[in-house]
Amino acid sequence: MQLGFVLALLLLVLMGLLTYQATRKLREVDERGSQAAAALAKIEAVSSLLNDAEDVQRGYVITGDERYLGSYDAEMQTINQDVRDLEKLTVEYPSQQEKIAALKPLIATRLGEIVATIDVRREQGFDPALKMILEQEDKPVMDGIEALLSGLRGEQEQQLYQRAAEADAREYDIIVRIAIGCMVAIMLVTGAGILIDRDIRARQQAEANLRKSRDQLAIILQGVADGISVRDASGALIYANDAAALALGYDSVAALLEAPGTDMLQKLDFLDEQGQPIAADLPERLALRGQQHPETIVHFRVRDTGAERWMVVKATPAFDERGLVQFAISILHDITERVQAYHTLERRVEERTHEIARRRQVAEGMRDILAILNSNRPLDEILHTILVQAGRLLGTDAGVVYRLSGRDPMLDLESASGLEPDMADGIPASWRPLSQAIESRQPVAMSDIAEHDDLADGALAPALQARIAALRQHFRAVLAVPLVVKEEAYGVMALFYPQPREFSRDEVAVAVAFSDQAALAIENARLRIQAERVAVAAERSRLARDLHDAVTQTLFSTTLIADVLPRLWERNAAEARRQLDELRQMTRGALAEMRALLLELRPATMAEIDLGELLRLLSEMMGSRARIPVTLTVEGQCPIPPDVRLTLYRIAQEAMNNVARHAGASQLAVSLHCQASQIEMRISDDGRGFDPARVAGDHLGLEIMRERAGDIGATLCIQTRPGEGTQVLVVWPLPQAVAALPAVAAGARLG
Amino acid sequence: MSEYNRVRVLVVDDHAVVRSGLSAFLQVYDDLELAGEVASGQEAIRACETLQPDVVLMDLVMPGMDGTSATRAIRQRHAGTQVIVLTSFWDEELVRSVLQAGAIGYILKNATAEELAAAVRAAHGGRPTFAPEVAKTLIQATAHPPDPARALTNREREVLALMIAGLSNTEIAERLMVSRSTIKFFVSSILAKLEVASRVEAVALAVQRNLVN
Repeated sequence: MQLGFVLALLLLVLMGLLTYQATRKLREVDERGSQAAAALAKIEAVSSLLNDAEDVQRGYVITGDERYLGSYDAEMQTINQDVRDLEKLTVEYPSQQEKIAALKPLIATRLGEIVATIDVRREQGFDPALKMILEQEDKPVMDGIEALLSGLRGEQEQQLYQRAAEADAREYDIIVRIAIGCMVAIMLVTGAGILIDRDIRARQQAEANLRKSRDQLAIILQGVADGISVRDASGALIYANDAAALALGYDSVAALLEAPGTDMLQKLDFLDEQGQPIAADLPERLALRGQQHPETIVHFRVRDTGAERWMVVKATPAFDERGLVQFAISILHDITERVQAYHTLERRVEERTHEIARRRQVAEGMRDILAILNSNRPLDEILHTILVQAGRLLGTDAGVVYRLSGRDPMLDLESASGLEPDMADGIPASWRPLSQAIESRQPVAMSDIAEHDDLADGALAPALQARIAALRQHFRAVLAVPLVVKEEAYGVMALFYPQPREFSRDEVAVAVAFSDQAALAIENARLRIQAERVAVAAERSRLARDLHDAVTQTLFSTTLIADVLPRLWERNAAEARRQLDELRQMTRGALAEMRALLLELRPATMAEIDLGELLRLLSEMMGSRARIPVTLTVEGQCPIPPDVRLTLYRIAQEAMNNVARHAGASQLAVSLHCQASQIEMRISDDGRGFDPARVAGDHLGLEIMRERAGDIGATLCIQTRPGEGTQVLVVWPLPQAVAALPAVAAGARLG
Repeated sequence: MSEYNRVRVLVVDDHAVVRSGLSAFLQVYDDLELAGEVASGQEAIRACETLQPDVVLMDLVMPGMDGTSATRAIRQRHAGTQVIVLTSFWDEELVRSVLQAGAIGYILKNATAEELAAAVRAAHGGRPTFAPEVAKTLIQATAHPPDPARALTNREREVLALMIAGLSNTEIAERLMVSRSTIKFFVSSILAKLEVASRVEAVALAVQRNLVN
């Protein structure tokens, strides 16, 4: 392209030179042509002037009027001048110079003739003058002049023609040269133009592309979720995207850019992670000072609204070639949601921890209650514990359990903790916090009973009103939870607070949990009473069964024998005597049964009776029942504590019952040996025996016997085998003997 | 009376005392004879196989197989063996089930030797004998089928009458000037005593049997 221009330029210069040269030549030609033309004009002028001079001569001669003379002197001079000019014009042409040289005297002669004629006319009159003119015509000076002029004219005209032809040729040459030069130039310029145009277009394209990519970058930066802002070295904000504007609390980029530099500092608090102000050390400021910093978490707080944002800010300085800070580019990554989520999580963890601690407290409270529930303590004691535990967890020491009374409008005071029974007692069931809880079977929380004027029923007796007034004087807040036992309204548990307070759902739930425990305790107590009743009934039916098993059967049998005895006596005296003896044994057995039953009814009596005596009773009883002879052996003195005595009696009773029921024995032996170190009790029979491994369940009450022996520290040993009878041995070591002779006692135990 | 004509009696009782007394009793009558004595229901059935007694004196309450079951089994297998129940209990239900099991007599353990002997003879002859208490129970059971209304208290009868009149619990409570829950208690008690599941059934039964008025 540049070459094209240079060529075109050179060409134009060349063309100019050529054209200049041609034009100069043309001008030369032209000048010569002009010289020719001027020469021709001079020739014509000279010719014309001479003719004029002749006319002036003749006119003056004829008229004698001076006016014809006019400027005749000047014209004379002009003719001479013209001739001189002509001489100069034709200087290059010698033939013409010759003719002009010849012409000059002729003209001078002719002009002299004219002047002479005029002078004659003026001085001599017309005729002489005429005579002179005629004489002049005879000597044709004028003709010679004319011939010379004509020759000059012819030469000059030829000259002119030649110059014209030469000029034409030159002109054509120039035109051709210019035309060619122009065409070449046009081509070159056009080519250059095309190249230039292309160049311009390319440049425009590049510019458009640049603009486009800049727009795209702007769009990209706008679209970036992170805020991006750029400050120049003076600290002025020169770029920000939407995210940056929003992050800094501005509605738009424009608002941010237009805001004065201090606006942001007035508007926002900048804090570090620990909540300390860091306005002076903001990352972008550090960057403007040329410092590179790692990412920093900045906490922005809008002063007006208190709105908070957390950003990870990375500010980077951009240096120019001299190493000076040109810009500071800040990238703000919004982590508000993450931080808030973290804070929320932290709060939840804290709440949860708190809740867990609270639950643990509740659970511990419940565990304590459960322990006391299982301890068979009296109901009021259990309820008191529940009230204390509930109060401990629910922030009060005043609590009451009321029972609905069937009789009167008053609630029965079941248990009270932390307030005088006098104050808690005599509260009417219609007092609203309590009645509402009972009727709705829902907990009722009254944050401040002073705000309720309608709690004390105006219809109540004045005494009751006074009671409620006293309660209200001491307490402001009440939490009342219904006690529902076996789906029946039983009463209400109420916690009282000296100050007004709000109750959280959690607290109400805890109160409900405790009231459930209280209800459970009440139900347990009821069940226990019921169980006691059942136990009494069971005891009665056991007595009835014992009476039936023993006494009724025996009495029926003895009656029957007594019925038939007289007849039997007649028929068979020996048999009658045997039956009589039988009868005696039976009645004695019945007596023993009756005594044993009485002892069962009054265990205290049993504790006073000697173990040997008790065993004798059992032996008579069982001998009668089983219709087998029983031998009883008691050796030594047995100072046995009452509980041990009773237990040994029970074991003997169970063992002998087994013999009577299952052994099918013909002999039963009971022995009691009281030694210094231990007591041995043995019950043995000659019955069918059994395989201890094959006794189903606790069919024979063996486990109960063992447990009983274990309770008093005795050892129970059963020796039996099918077909070989059974022996039950119980060994009880005397306490002092255990201390004195442990080895012997241990050996005895093993035996 | 020849030995072959004697009534052979099997004694079944878990009480040795009773067996002892009964064996003494059977010794003094020429026409009665002790065939054997056993202590349980199973033993009784086995003894019937081997001893072929004419009459069994059967106790009811025994460990293992009870008297009623044993009676049923014996009567099914040995039509010629009559069973007399000898027990201390005589509630209606027990008497019915034992009679259905095939016992011909029901004697209580307060009978005299003569009464017992007569019962054994009668049974052997195919005639029933019942202790007076048992006879009374049977008569009462037949003459007076259980009257549910008899169990109702006066107050319950009052409530039932209002139920028949179509009053709701609330209306009944207002009428009788008691609480609604009290009426609910009465109503459920009435339903239980009449052995019905619903209020409608109770009213229907009451009208059908004319339980009120």
